[in-house]
Amino acid sequence: MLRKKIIIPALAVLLLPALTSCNDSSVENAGEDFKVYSIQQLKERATKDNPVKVEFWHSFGHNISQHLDPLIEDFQKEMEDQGIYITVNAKSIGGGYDGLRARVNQGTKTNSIPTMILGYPDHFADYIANDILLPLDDYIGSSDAEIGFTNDEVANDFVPSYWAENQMVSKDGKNIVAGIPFNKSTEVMYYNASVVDPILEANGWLTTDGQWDTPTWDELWTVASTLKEKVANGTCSWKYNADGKTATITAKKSDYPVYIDSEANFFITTARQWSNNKDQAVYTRVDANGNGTVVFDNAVTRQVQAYFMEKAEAGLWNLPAKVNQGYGSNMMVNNEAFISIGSTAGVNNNASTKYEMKVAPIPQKSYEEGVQAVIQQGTNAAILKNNSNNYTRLAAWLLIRYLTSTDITSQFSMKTGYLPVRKSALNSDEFQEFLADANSIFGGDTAKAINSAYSQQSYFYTDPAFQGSSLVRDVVDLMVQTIYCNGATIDSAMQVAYQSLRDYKINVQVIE
Amino acid sequence: MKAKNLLTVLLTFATLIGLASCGNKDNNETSVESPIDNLPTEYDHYYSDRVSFANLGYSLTEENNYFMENGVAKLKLKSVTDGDTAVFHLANGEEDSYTNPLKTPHSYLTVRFLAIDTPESTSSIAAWGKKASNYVRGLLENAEGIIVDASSIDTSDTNVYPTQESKYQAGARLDSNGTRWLALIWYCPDGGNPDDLHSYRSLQLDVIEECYSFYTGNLGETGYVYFADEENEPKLYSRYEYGSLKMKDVLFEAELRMSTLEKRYTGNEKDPNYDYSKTPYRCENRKESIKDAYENWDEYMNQGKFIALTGVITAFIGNNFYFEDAAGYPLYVYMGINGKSIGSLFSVGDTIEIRGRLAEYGGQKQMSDIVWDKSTFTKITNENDMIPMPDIIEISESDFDAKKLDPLLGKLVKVTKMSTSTKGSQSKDKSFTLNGSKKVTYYDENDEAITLSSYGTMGIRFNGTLAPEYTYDEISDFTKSTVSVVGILSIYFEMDMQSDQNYPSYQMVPGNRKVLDDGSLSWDIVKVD
Repeated sequence: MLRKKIIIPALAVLLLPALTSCNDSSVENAGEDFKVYSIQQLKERATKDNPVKVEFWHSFGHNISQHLDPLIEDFQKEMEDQGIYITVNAKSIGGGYDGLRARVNQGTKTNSIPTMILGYPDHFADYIANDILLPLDDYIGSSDAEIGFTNDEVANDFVPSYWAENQMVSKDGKNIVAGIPFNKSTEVMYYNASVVDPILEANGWLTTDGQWDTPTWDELWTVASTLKEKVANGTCSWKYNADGKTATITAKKSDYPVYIDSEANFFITTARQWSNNKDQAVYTRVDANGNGTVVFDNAVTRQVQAYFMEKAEAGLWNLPAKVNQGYGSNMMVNNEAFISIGSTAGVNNNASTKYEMKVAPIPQKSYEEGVQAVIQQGTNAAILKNNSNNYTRLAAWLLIRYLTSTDITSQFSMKTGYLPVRKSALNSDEFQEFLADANSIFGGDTAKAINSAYSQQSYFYTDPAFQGSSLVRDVVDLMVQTIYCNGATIDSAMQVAYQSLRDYKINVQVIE
Repeated sequence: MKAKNLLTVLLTFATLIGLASCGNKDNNETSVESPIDNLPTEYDHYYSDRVSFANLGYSLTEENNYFMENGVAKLKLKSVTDGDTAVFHLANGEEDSYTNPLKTPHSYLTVRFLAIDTPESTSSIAAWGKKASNYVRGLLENAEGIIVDASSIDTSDTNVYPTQESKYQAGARLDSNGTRWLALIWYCPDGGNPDDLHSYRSLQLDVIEECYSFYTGNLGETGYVYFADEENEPKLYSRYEYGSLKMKDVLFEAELRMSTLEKRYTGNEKDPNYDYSKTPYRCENRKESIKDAYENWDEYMNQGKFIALTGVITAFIGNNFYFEDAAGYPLYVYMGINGKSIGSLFSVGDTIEIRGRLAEYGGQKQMSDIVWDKSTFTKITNENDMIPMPDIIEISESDFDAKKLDPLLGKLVKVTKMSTSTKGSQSKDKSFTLNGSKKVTYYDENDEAITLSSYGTMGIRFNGTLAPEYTYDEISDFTKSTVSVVGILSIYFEMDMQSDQNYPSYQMVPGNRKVLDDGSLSWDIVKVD
């Protein structure tokens, strides 16, 4: 810390003059007062010789952007057909969503920020605090049918929980729509059904159509124990289809039969499941003024972590980092693990030709009592106002509107494993056919993941965002790693995490 | 590693920033002109010309040149994979066992370059990918010396990283899959003095200033340059607080500055050597499309041409496969890192059309950039367009001669009698080789026949993704014996810059095994007398 304190003034003095003069904005009238222009006004400005440029930052890798880029091209073509020339410069910014947010925050002072951006609500909280986010209400409410959404779309078509997380409060206390849901996902449980299904069947947990539709954590440990015994005595064998016939694999090693990819999701979701009711804050809470307080050091989370630590010490599960890996899917496809809990967007990484992959909802503590919960994740599309004008903003809005339209959200979902953001997409004939064909070699695995994801829809949740809440997740990620990978006690890890948060001036509260 | 003292660090940053703010390359002490006031009109390497490894203040000597121990060392280049990955030989007898799931130690280090991400050029092929890869290859292969620096990620907090292993486990130095190291790369360019640490340039800066990559690191301690309201919001936005990257401000500023040039990958410029078509090119004689691809290989590959090729499937190797056209030209189809098999849709003997782009990997020509979509694969059912399955070509050890083997590459071959020696160890994907005993005759640049002292035998490569697979244990029965083997004749060539004998390895690659009627598995390798 000493180094940091001393260096900061040196850097602040030396580097800031360079960066503050870095206003590389090439946007005319950047930051002008907001007004909703008409399509005709945009058409007059966005000519073939002088197209309107939209800078759009996301953080997708090649696997996703290869499906996004053609949709953007199609949008540009549709606009061109109307005589409106828009050039979208879609950039994948590295460093994941955290990198994206950090870059926007850093670029704010130099106005080197885009017009359109993807982000989480807590990112938007930063942008609101820095006064760079454009509320979308006037576009949504526009009476021009080519610009606005209908009341029915807003109230009944967008998935309510996705829409709700974008309802935020502006700096001056107004309720605003900060973003439009774009790429949404949740967590599911992938498993090697070739070896797990017989265990489920023996315990009576498999439905008549072969699904593990209501898994509990206790069931998971029973399955994991059985798998561990089988590996130890050399009977962890399964058959799979090869060349139209049946072959056999015997797993010889499994450090842990189950892996859970996301430390923070694991911590937050299980805390919620173990809480007494949905209104009990066991992770963070936000007051009426939007100020957040961290409360995750409490009796519930300590009880949960003690429970999971006992199972980890029994060798039933762990984090991939425990074995130097980033994802449980790495061990799944190597036949060294059989169950992996992770994002729906990771479905393709869990599939293999050497076993039948099935997808279940993530386990719950109980379906009869207490709280059922699975995290809802994925980003939303927003518009930043400082390095944009009313033409680029409208062009960006039209792109958001296009990408979240029924047909396009459906197409994007079928290709990527992200979930459609509109009910009309989910209920469309094309999408329902896609979901029904879970055995299709093209998209079948994705359909399995989406089916499981939607079976949990009634208990999707997110914690309300506040400025700094993303940092809290980061600290929790690290805290959980130190508990399960580095041998820290739950007490000491929580204390270290809380101290970190205090250092960052985040309110924390221990609840005995 | 010797402790870095505070003064050095301070001077380093002051120097870096002083340099960064300097408009005059020859006088970096007093000028305060911002580089942003002097926007680039070309790839002027404003920052990379001004920053060297010496600025970081490390003491790097023969005595502390231990990468595994210190996270920074001068290492010899083995090979360049693409624009952001390369392989290095570890020095001083060190071995890495962290990045192999099987924990097999190996004497080389696969490094993913920290803070940059160049467009794809191997399993998928993106615009500007080839050019980025070629640029990096040119720098590293001609370098007088290279420093691999993973110490820039600070893992010194013993509360968080109590042990050496915990630093690795926490992913602070490994990529998210745990299979590659993350590091800054410093290189001494051709003609420089590799003993002088001032001669080492930042590869990452050079790549960013050639507009081949964004800066992809986090911006961590935003207090440096971002004047947030420190009282009311957290200064730190990164999970890697404990591993903040030195150089990040300079890397980011370099990218910001170069973005104004609007060139190449980061400038969203169209790559003139990339085919953006949505419909593939088909040659006129569809039954000889692979021959056409070979005859125009360099043009098609270097132009990133989107093409459709037709052939008969001759073997599945895990998720990938070989197919061959009516003129007898075979080609390997690589389905990608997370690729799936089309084995349940098509069989050996089927004629299919497939869309993708041409690439070379490990010395092998292949079709790559396969998009997993119905439209990518078409079964040919019109009898006039169907291609018959080729006969298996029989050879013996007397044919282990590069001139005889090269024309057979990619074809279905049977070696009737082959003497074997030992098994190699399993690689990350559980692949392994049963080494042959008979040396292959190679030819040097003067066309003189030569025999290599090592690695010069034909091997039998058991791919770890075969379905069903050959297990490592069951192949023990075939060591030090005489076997007959059926498979695809293949080569693997990974340039080792430190070896004076860079020749490809010839390999027989058995395909996926068949399940026989009695439930047992077929054997493409059998013992013979």
